[in-house]
Order: sequence, then structure tokens, then C-alpha cells
Amino acid sequence: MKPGDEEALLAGLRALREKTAETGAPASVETLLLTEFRRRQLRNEPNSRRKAFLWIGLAAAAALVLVAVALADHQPTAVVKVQAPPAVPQPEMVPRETVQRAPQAPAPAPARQAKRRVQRPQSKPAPLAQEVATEFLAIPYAPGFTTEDRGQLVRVRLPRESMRSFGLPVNQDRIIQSVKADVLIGEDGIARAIRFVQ
Amino acid sequence: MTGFLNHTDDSLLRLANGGQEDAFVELYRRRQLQIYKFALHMCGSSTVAEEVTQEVFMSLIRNTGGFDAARGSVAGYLYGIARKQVLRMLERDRQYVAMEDDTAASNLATTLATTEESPLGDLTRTETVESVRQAVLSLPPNYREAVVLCDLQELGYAEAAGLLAVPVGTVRSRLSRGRAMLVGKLKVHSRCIV
Repeated sequence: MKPGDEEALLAGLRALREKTAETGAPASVETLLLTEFRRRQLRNEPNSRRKAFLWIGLAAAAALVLVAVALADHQPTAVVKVQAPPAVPQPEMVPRETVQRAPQAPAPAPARQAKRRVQRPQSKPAPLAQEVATEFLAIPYAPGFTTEDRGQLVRVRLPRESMRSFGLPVNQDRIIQSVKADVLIGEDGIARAIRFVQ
Repeated sequence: MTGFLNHTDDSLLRLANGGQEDAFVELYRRRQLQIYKFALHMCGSSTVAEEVTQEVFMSLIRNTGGFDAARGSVAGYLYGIARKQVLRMLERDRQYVAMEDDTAASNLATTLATTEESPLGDLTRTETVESVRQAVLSLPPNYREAVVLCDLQELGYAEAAGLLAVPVGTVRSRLSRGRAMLVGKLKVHSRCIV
């Protein structure tokens, strides 16, 4: 390429550049984009709010389940202690020589004693007919649950005070006691509803 | 809107993603001219340029998380979208072969014939600017991009290389080859008509 040709070409390109210097998209493009921008904002706003509620709901449900599990773990030990059969005599710590000299009534066999201790008649599930339950109450902010959705019912124990958060009356004298509840957990592991059982 | 004058493109995009309409408008007004002209020089149609500009900023609205500042500037990101759009449109329109613009060729030939110093003559005359434009449009896309970005949009080699995702040396060689092709095309026009 000759130097003269290149100079002429660059001058031509410069002229083309200057000719289109102020050329831009028409105002209608900006208007259209702004309309789309506003439409997106309007659509995103409820979504973000819904997401925030969902997270709060999930956190609340998770906390509820954790508390329930923690309480359920503690309950069986207490029940066994209360229901220990009092009729079983405790063996006395008697020296061997004394037993040989003055035989007394045979003490209950340790094996039998252990067997009795294992017996936990109170751990048998109470007949369902004796239970009185509330309606299923939706857990706030949890995702929706329809009759077609599948889930699992989990029996837990909760502080009686937790009934308040579902608008149920609580007897002040028994507020420190726990209450049984059935928690409906969806396939995604999120608690959806709860009913209190008595 | 004047409150955004000192904001960088990155900052404007962040604010726009957060829902600030003024920030989006400022970013659009700051960058739309370059995008529009790039598309116009690449496609030669104001309608297509308008469509490309609209699509570029529409992508920005739709894909709020797509930009990564670590990978380049906002301008580069916008050019990247524009380039994809342009190449798609060129591919789409490839089946429609444009006819030679006789008027432009005739103007060019007249000018070249009356110039004694160089066979290319004075290409800055109004009637011949159109001829240069047509010649640029007839370049293969690779060379056209280099000429449009470096000669018509006055970007540096490095900046153009970043936008085209090629080494600087490639941009230089494409530009040089593109210019040579332009001179050749303009000379052929002049010889054919004169």
C-alpha cells in the first residue's frame, strides 16, 4: 500500500467517523428499555419479599424441629424413673457368714430383678382413641402443602408454651410442662403443619 | 442524574442491578452511542443498529448477575454482547446478498477520476464518505471489526484486542490487512467505472 493511499483512506475513515459522531439510538429505545427495567423491578420486588419470608419461615421451622428433637431425647429417662415398680424389695448388703448362720427368706434373684427393671409398661403407646388433638395448624411462612403433596408425620414433644405461638390457650400452672405434638414434614424436609395432642 | 457523573460503569451497573433506575439511565446514555455506532458500522443498517443496541441493554436488564468485573470492563462486556448480536445478524442475513451500490460506486469513481495526486483521491468529500462506508461493509467480519473498532471508534489496539479476545498482534495484522483490502476495493471501483 502506497503512503498516499493510506493517508487518503485514513482521511476517508476519519470523515466517516465525524459524519456519524453524533449518531445514536433513537429515544424510543431508551423508553422501551426503561419500561422493561421498571417491569422487572416490579416483578422482582414481591419475589425478594417472598424469599425473605420463606427464609424466616424455614429458620423458625428448623428451630422448632430442633427443640422438639432435643426435648424428645430427654423424655424417656424421666418416664422410666417415675414408673419404677416399688414392690420389688431391694437386696440387703449382708456379709456371707451371717447368711450361713441365720438363713432367711431367699432374696429375689438378681436376674429376675434386672428383668423387672427393664419392663416399661408405661412406654407402650397410648391408644389413639384416648388422644385428643387439635386441628393441623399451618406453620407460619412455610411453603404451601396440598392434599396431593406427600409428607411424614413425626411425633415430638414441645414446651407447652409453644402452643401460644399458634394462638392456643395455655394453662399457666402447667406452662413448664411439655406437650405432645405431631409435626407434618414435607418431602423436602420442611415442617408444614403441626397439631397438638393431649 | 448529575449525581452519577463521577460513578464508574461498574458502580452504575451495581446500582442499576439494585433497582436504581437513574443509574441504569446514566449507564445507557454513557454507552449507547458506542454500541449503536459499532453495530451501524458493522451492519450498515440503522434499523439493525437500533435492534442491537436495544438487545444489548435488554440483556443487561435481564441478566443481572452476568457481568464479572474481574473478567473485564462494563464497556467490554457491552461490546461483547453487541458483537455476538451483530455476528448473529450477519449470519442471519448472509442469505440475502446485498447488491452493489451503483450510486456510491459512481460517486467514488467521479471523485477518483478528477483527482490527480492519488488514485483514491479525496475521500473526505461528502459523496465519497458513503463509498468508504460501503467498502468497510464489504470487508469480511474479522477485518471489519478491527477497522471499525480501531479506525472508526478510535479504540487502542489493546482495548480492541480485549474486546475481540485475540492478541494485540492479531488486531494489528487484521487492521493492516483490512486497510489494504479497503484500498484495493476502492481502487478496483475506480478502475471499473473509469
